[in-house]
Amino acid sequence: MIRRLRRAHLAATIGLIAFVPALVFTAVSARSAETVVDPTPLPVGDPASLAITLVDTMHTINGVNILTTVTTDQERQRLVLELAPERALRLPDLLVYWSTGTTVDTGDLLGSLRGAQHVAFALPSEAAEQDGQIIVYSLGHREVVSAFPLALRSSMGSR
Amino acid sequence: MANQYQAVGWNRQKRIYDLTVVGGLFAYIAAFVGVSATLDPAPTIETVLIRATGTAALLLLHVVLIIGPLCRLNSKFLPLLYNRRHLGVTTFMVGLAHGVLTTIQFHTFGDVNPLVSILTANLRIDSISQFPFQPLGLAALLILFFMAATSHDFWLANLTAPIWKAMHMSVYIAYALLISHVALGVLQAETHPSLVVTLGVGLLTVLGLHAAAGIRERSLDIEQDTIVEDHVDVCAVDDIAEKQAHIATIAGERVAVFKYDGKISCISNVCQHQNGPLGEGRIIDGYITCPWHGYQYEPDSGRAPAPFTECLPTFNLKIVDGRVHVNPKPNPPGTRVEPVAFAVSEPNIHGR
Repeated sequence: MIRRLRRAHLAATIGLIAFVPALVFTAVSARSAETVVDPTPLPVGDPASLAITLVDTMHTINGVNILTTVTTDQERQRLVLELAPERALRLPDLLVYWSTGTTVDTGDLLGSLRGAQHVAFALPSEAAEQDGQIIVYSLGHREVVSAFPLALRSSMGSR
Repeated sequence: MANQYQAVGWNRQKRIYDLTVVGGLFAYIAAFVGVSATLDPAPTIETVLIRATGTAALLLLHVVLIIGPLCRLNSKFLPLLYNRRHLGVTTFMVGLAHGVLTTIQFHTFGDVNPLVSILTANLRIDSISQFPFQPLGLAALLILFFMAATSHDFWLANLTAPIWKAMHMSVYIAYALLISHVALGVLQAETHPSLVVTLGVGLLTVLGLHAAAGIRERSLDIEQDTIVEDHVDVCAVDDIAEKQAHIATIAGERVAVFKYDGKISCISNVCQHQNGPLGEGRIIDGYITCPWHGYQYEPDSGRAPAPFTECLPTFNLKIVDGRVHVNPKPNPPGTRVEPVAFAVSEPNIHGR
């Protein structure tokens, strides 16, 4: 290699030594300092008023147990679905629907499900009157990952 | 050598080299998929392949980058250098597979052109943890493509080695971009310490070896300053091993003083092919042979044997009291200089 290139080589090495480790250190430090805030509100109202449990069962989504709870208030005006994964879900793009059919095309989008985050969704009022199912859908793969029935009519009437 | 151009001038060494690279690559990907399926079966095969190709490309780039300094520090690593360009092209191909799989997985379901989506889906340049890391990977991939596309000897010969090598130093920009891509991308989502430690070890290895080689080369570039009658005193005849060379820096560049068959000749230390260090080679079958890729030159004229056409500058020299004195003014490339005979005074105790 000629001398001019050797000098350029040395300059490039010094540049890398000065820049790259500092960048990695900054990036690794920043990940713990910045908290990702979920901008999606949970339109479920005051959780304390949801005193009546209609459903309290376990389902499995992609190998992860999910505690599934449906609660309502004394007036039975609001229905709230809660999903509590036991550990982090590995699929990054899960959407939760309530539907009277078997596909998400005719369903109501409730919200997204990710990681080990416990989430609560307001169910549509139709869920109190019609049997339906909860569908967990992978947006990236465009496929239903999990679906389980949700029949609340008898529960709503009996309590 | 540069008699004619072929897509690849295959020989036994290149076949072994490439089979080793391809075999190692497939073994790595198979092992990655197998271990992933065992430890964490949840991700889809597409996701696992994205991870496998991404880590493989990064690993290959580290190997490509450490070969050069390793060879400067220890000649035992020279066989790795012989076909390094194929390793570089392989790095680009694996990186391309990673990029294509990632684009299909994350950018093809929308109604925006996938390439536009990569560049515009995330514009949070004001955040470190949310920084748009994917364009960094795309930029690195474009540099690797440029290097792979110009890796052939056709470009090397037509651009000339200094320009070609200067262009290919953009690999360091690609390396910085890829490390940024990883640090601002996967390391933000995956927080297991082993990932940071692995990246740190790779980074320290690449930078440490380059720094060590740079320091060594800098010490070799110290000019010879003992001038006697317009000639530079470079070394004693006995300092040179038979059929090998002593390298000295005169007039701003390195020269190689070869001793062979009772004679001394001096030519430029810079091989015409890739600017390899001729003085670290040997005289084989009467020709100076470059340690990097085996290009050969006549020691008295600096000419490659026919039908090849490469020529190097030669230098006039004389021997005074057992010491080699070299005229620092180079002769035009290919100029024959009568080798200077020396009297053998005693056995050469420096022979290796």
